[in-house]
Amino acid sequence: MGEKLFDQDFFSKLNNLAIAMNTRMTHGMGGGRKSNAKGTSVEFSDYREYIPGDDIRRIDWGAYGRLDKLYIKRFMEEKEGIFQIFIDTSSSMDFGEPKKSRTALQLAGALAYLVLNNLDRVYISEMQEDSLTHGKGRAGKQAFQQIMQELERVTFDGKTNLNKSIMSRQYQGSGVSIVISDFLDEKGIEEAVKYLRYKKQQIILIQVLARQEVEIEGDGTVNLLDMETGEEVRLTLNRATIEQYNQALKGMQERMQALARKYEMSYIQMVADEPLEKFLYDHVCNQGIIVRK
Amino acid sequence: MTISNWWPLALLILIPIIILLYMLKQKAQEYPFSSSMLWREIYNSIEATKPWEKLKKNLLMFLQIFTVLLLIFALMAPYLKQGGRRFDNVVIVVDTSASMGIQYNNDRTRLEEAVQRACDYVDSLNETAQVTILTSNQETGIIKTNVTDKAELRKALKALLVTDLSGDTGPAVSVVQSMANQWEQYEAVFFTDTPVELGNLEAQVINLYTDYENLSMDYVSYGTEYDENGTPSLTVIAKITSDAAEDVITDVNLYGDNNLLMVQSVQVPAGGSQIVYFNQVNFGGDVLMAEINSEDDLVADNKAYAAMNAEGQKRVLLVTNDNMFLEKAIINIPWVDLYKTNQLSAVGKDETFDLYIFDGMMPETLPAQGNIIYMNPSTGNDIKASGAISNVNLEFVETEITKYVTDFSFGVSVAKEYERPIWADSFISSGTGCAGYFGENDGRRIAVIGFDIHYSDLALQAEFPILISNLMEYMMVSGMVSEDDYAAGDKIVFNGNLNGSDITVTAPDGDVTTLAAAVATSAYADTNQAGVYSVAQTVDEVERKEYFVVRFPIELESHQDGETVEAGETVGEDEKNLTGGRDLRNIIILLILLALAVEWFVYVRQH
Repeated sequence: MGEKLFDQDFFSKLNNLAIAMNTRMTHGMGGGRKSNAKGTSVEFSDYREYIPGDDIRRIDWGAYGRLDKLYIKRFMEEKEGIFQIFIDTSSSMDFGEPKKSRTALQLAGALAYLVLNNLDRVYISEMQEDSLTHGKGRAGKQAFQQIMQELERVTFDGKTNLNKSIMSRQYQGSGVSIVISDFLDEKGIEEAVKYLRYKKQQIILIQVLARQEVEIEGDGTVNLLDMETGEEVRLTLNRATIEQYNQALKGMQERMQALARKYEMSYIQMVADEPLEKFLYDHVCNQGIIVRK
Repeated sequence: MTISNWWPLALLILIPIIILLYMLKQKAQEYPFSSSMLWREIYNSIEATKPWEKLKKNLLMFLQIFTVLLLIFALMAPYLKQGGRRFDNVVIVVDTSASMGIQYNNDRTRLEEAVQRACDYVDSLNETAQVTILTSNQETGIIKTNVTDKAELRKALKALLVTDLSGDTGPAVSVVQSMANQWEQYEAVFFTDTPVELGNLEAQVINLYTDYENLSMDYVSYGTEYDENGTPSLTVIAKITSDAAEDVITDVNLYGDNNLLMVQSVQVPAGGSQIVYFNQVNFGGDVLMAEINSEDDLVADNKAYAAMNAEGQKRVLLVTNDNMFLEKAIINIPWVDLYKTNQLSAVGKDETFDLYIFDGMMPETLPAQGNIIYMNPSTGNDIKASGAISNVNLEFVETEITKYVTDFSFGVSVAKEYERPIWADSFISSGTGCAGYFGENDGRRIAVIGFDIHYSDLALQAEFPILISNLMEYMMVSGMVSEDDYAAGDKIVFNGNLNGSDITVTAPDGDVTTLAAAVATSAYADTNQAGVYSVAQTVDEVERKEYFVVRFPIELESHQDGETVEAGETVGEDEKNLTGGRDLRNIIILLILLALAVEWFVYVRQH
């Protein structure tokens, strides 16, 4: 990606946002998110009987006076949130004006910035046909430059197999998985969703479509060339066929919404030429995925 | 149905070209797209409805082929025959007589209806029909001959105007008959409001007679009266005739030189006539006009005119030694002022006279103007006496000036016989020769009486003052027009002065015709309009202007008894439908336009 994905003004606006998490973290380093683990935060959790070896600084001497037994005070542990951003890097994403790929990278960058800004950890993975290029986990604001460099190096080609790609990711503990794709994959994404739910992931599906996919233009008989598979479909573009296409697109989006309800995940649609800032503030905030600090 | 042209079939080659163009057009463009997933979904439903969709997809092509086929068909000029008739030669006769100006219905006159029907008929003819258009009134006019261009025919028909002439379809029937004799097959159609005697001619007659209500101003006339002081005034009478089924009350306006003089209300009985009197009318101009001041179905006959040329006292110089008989007879005529002299030298001096009577004398030089009567002249001044006769009975010959005295003979003791000039008519016959003649030569009227009244018993007879009165009337018409009014269509001979300028005639509509003085005695025939005409000539730098009236043919045209027919009905030898068939070209062109509209609609729908 030759050109810069963001400008400074955009980041200053992002500073006011944070990604909400519904799940409690089970793994990972200390951070700013609630977890099931006990630790060293200021938030009291419960008592437990003293076992030799425990830190005697945590003995509740008041309780010992009343009960003549040694009790240890336990506190909540705060952990960092683990965010996984999957980017569909198939050829179909390299379509439209502006290209869906550019919008997807911008979106991933923005979300990564939100994550890092909130003391959480982010992994960015590129989904190829059967595999997944799994990026390193990055935390801390200083990691953002590295992420940007990685994002600018991403190339879009080949086919997609969302299920297979996502399921090749090994998880440890809960977290948030964000999938950015056009979801134009005949095999769908249900298997991957099931897998992510099983892995205690909060799932956010963001569908990026080009304006040219939402509003079809053209007329007459055309050889429609599939950019991913190279397959040709000969058809006549006219009002009727365009109307049928629109119906098919709507049907697919309705299926996605039904899937989202079924697995309690978020599903958001975005058109590539939509301003990113507006998309984040309007659509994503409205769904409660992102909250204002 | 018949086809006029077959060559457009060659254009069928266009149809494969259209199909080829569509096939070429259908070569699909590459259309890169992110994923064919959704398209493949709908592709299946397209496949499922393939036959209909395919037809729909090519609907534009089929419409274009259909349009081209229609176009070819139109170029072939198909013609639908009705009743198996198709004519190569067609004659349309349109009656343009005055009665065709009567309202046919509220919208149009009979002629306008005739023109409309004739245009419809022309439209219904086959393209190759050669059409001749004739008009019929007093005479038959040929408007177009053997024309196939329908636009030209329609234009000619629409240019037809109602004349003020009476109608007679007889000459038109003869003309059509003579034309028809050259043709193997033809159709003749008469558009008229009067019955047509077709004789052997096979033709259709479209009767345009309908009931109507009309008032006509039959005539206006006047007389001059003098009061005790000798002041003249006019008494004017006008006659109105009505066709209406009920009594009609209307105003009658009297105009003098287009200024309103008097108005009178009059009740005209149903189907009858009424005379209106205007008394003590003070008017000294040229033209009187009476007008019916109400609307009716024929406007053209609502006015009548009277020209007042001949009025005024006429001056007569009697050059005689003594002729009491003649003097008394002339003095009795009220509009004559008689002057008497016995000096030939008095003639042609300062005063001029309308008439000079030389009784037994022959002037050496003739006066410059004025008519002349020679009584018992000898040879001289173009008069050639051929011999003398005595004790004979002379007889009046039937002429214009022997009205009421024809077949009268009288005895003369001494008389002369003359060589009659070619311009003169004899009115007194001696049995062996001409004893008196009259005529007009070089713009001057001349009469010669070949005996002395003193030597005959004529002066003692009752016929004598009548003859003198006739002679005076003939002689006093010194103007260019010999009558005050004519029937429309009459040919008029003007008595122009050969030494004068060209004669100009101004018709009621302002059209000016110039006639050379040398040929002025030839007929002026352009009298198709009723109204007042003026005729003018300059002689010796003095302009003479006179008026004459052309009458509307009221007796023949204003009050017809016709056979009423319903609009659209035709009467003929056999009652065939008038339309000879139908030219399908216009219908096909309409279909083409419709096909183009459908094609546009489909194109907009599809895109």
